[in-house]
Amino acid sequence: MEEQQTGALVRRCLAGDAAAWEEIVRLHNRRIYNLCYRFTNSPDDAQDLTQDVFVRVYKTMGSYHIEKGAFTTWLTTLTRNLLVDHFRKSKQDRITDSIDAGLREEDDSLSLGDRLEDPRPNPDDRLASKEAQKMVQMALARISPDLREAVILRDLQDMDYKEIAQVLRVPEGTVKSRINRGRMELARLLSRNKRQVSNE
Amino acid sequence: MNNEPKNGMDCSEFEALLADALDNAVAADARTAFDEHGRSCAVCGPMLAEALEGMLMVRGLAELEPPKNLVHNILAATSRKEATAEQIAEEAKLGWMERMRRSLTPGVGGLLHSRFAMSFAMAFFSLSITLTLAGVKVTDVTNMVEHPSLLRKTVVLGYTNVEAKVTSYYENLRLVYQVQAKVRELKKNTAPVSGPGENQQQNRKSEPDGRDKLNEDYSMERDGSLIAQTFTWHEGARI
Repeated sequence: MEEQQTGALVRRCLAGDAAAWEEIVRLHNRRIYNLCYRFTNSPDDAQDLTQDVFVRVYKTMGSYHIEKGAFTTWLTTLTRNLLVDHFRKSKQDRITDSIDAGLREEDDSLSLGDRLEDPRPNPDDRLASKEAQKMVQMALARISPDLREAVILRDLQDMDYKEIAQVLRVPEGTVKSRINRGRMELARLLSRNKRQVSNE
Repeated sequence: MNNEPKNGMDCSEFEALLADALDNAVAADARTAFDEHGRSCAVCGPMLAEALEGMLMVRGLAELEPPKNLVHNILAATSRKEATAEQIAEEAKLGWMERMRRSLTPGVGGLLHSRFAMSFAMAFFSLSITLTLAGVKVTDVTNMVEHPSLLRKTVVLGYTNVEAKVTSYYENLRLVYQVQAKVRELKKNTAPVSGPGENQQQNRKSEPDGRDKLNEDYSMERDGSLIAQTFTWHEGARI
């Protein structure tokens, strides 16, 4: 439904309807801003990149064909390409923490089904405080870009594996593998941070 | 990682199903084997726990509110792009003169109006002609700019050149006048001598009624009556 609405807006926009373009910007700016912020960990960079994304969309909208795929996927692909360019330009530190296996003492007595259903307080309660959110964001910024983008697209942008594979131009199996590794790495980093905080 | 099957599933199969299992997208029979393997495998169990924790943490991140001016900035940036594209298309249709005039600031651009442009052109040509006649060369000006110490030398040299040209001109002019004067003198000396009355006779114009203008006495009417008389002052005379 949303894609049909966006498709109609795109057609109107290509016909020169300024109001349609404004509607597209209003519909998607939040999602793109969040994607950029989670990837760059900088509000200023996120704002600039979001603006760049929409300028690029505006210029290249003629190349988008509705029958080839969803507008959201196309928009995300474009955003991801700009994020990769930005990452290369900014020469962000790619060195990520090594993964220390076996450091965690996890209670694995519960089955996966039990844990997924209602094993602990829900994520909103667990990450209610700003500090906790900041820690997760910091950890997200520290994992490698390949893993980060896969995790962000799946867990924050709620895209399915097929769409992510299309955006990242890798097979679905690779997408799943990256997502698993990214999640595990995040958990280890956060666990390490918690231990450091409790030791201080 | 151990590849020996445990509970009907090996570790690579477990890892392949991990993402789908976290999404609750694994078929029931495979799910049982998956859970069993996760509980019994020392490698896959912690892996599952970490992946789950990581997923919950990231999904717990709140959606951020974009800056208030973001939409406005995007729309402004895209409308500017549109305006720029239209401007480029419009400028492509214009002549080079108009494009140059528009590229200048509005204050300076107004000076390129035809009447101002003609005035500037005339002033430029006048100046260039004056400088050319004065012997100023463009290379001299360039040298002056590049080497300010040469300024005085160049000015003195230019002045001397101009003075020499003017002096030469007047010397030549004087020579021409002298030659002309000599020629006239020679002509005068070589011409045949004639009586003073002959020339007067030739130049004199007679009145239609035969009266001689030079010898006519205008102090008297034609009938002989006196109209005016000049007085000669004699010493001792009384008025």
